[in-house]
Amino acid sequence: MAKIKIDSEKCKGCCLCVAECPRGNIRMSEIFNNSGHSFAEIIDIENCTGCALCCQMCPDMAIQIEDEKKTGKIAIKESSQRKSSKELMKKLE
Amino acid sequence: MKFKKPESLYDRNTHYCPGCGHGIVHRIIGEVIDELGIREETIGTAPVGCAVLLYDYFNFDVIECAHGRPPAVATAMKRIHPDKIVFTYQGDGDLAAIGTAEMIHAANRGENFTTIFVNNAIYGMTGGQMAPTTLVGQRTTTTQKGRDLIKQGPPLKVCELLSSLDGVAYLERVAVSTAKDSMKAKKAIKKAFQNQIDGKGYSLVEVLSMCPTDWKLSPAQAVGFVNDEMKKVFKPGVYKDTDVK
Amino acid sequence: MCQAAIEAGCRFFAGYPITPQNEVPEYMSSHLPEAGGIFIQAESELAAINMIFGASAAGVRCMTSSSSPGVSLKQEGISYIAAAELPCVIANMQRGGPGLGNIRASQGDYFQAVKGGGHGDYRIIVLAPSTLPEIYELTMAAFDYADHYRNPVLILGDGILGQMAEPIELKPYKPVVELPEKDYILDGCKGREPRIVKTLLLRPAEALVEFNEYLKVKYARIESELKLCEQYLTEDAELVVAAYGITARIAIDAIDAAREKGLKVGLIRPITLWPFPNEAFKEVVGRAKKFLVVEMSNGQFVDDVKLAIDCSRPVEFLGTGGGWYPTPEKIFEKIEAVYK
Ligand SMILES: Cc1ncc(C[n+]2csc(CCOP(=O)(O)OP(=O)(O)O)c2C)c(N)n1
Repeated sequence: MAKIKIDSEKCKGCCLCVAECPRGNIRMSEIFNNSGHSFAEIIDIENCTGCALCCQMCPDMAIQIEDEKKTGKIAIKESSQRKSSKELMKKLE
Repeated sequence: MKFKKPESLYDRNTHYCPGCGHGIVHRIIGEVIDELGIREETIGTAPVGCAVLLYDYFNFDVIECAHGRPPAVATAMKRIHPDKIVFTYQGDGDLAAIGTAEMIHAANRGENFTTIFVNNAIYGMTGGQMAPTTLVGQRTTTTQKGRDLIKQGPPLKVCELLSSLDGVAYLERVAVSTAKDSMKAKKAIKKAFQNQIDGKGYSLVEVLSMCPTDWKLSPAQAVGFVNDEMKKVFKPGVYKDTDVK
Repeated sequence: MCQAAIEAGCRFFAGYPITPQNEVPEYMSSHLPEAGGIFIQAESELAAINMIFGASAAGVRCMTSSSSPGVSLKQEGISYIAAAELPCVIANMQRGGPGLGNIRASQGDYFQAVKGGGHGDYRIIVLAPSTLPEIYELTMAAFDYADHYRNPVLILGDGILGQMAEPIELKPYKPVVELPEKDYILDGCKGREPRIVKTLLLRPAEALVEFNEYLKVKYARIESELKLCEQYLTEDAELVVAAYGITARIAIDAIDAAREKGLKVGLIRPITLWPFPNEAFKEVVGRAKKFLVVEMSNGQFVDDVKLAIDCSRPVEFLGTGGGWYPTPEKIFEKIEAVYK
């Protein structure tokens, strides 16, 4: 899981990130920030791959992505390994 | 993957309108300067235009120039400080109308500085008048029925124009209208700065950019205008590269 | 002038050819690089003055020169340089105008030089030498005044001065005023906070008014400190001739001739045209019955003479623009005619 952070006060609501997200994982808020803009928010943080295409299009540097935690990556691998081993077990059964 | 504000930019909200391409170009320049490790060696020039306040955003020395004259100012700066990194950041009115002579002659002399040319096909700061790069048929406040090929002539193509000059080292036209374009733009801008570090001479990157406010389009439509209309007239690509023999 | 500039440490020159001052860039193109400086033949006067803007911000002593139409083109840049408080030296070897005019000597750019040819409330120091040795001296001093006050300095000459030959003694350069450390130079922000050179003052709303207040004080300080003027036989003069530059030099011959005839005539020659040496005029106004202004224009400098004496004496005028020039005889005739 990537650590994406959207700074709602920097966002001017241009929506360019929304169109850019390959997973359709960004939407505009129903509330407004202090500058009066509806701002971008992540729909499902678990679903974000950290591809940063949104950041490439954000004119306001409102989106940041922090380093992926190594543990995060390993955890994903472990779970998939576990899953596959379970599947293996199933197949063996 | 990691994505955060480059050191070369202050952590500030900009004055740009929602969806304006200037912010993307600023971010790219900031990243490039960080990556090349030249922030403390860089002297930027601010144009008259929407980007006049860029010194409020960039964390290095900046000189604000008269409308159209950044290439003259940068020429002197770079000649006096040949070991520093000097760049001009210019809009289409600044570079391709009032400052055409300065731009062409700096390029032709092969001055060893870098130009980032933001082409948004309109005069942004003054409220949306026709620019030299306005497309035929495009409505502006001074071409209310659309730019007329006969009356106003066709849009000025800067990369094509400069490509015949021997003094020029590198010309590329890019866009910031999709994430992929932005990544390409960054590569081009990085090369343009690297060329200066390597003493190769004049490099210019033309960036097709959005101006939703003065185009009277939504940011999403503005992106569409760049992708569907501007790119047709202003074809992205490398127009000159003295590295490629 | 060029030799003085190089001697004074000028290391950047940008100019565009125009008669009658082509000797300046021509000389600079070969001698400045020899002194380790940079010469650029710019694509226009606009480019030249903006190169000076950049060069000054980059921290070197810099200079440009031109003649009337070219100096008109430089005006926007001069306004920016004054607003950014950058030092530089500009020379104008005036020619006949208006328009393309002709290439004869003239003093038709007095208003442009002294009242500010560009936009906004700014002032530039204007020096008017009348001989080649004085050009040499004042050119050196011009760089010092520019640095001292962080302000453009204009050397206002004319086509005659520009093309005249005269022996001069080349004195070594010695600063005439204190030279402050240049803490505004742009050379990369290594080891310090980034610097900005700018002239746009939008926020807060009063910023530009405050900056203009500051400029007012700065200009008042220059006015109180820097006024140069030569007086010739004014102690007992009943008629005071006022002239500057080459015209004053010609007037001296006429005054000598008048003195031989027993006419009490003297001369005030302002060397700084801005700041204008009002005091010198005020000082003689008690004794003088009349003033005679001679200038190579339809009458520009004459306004400042009238202001300097609060119009308290009649001010006669001899002058025409467009390349007309006075001879000692013409001035003498006028002196005789107005002297009563
Ligand atoms: C000598 C002069 N002429 C005109 C202007 C007014 N002016 C300010 S910005 C501008 C146009 C800027 O357009 P562009 O260079 O395309 O930049 P943008 O604002 O679109 O980024 C103009 C004409 C000026 N400041 N100075």
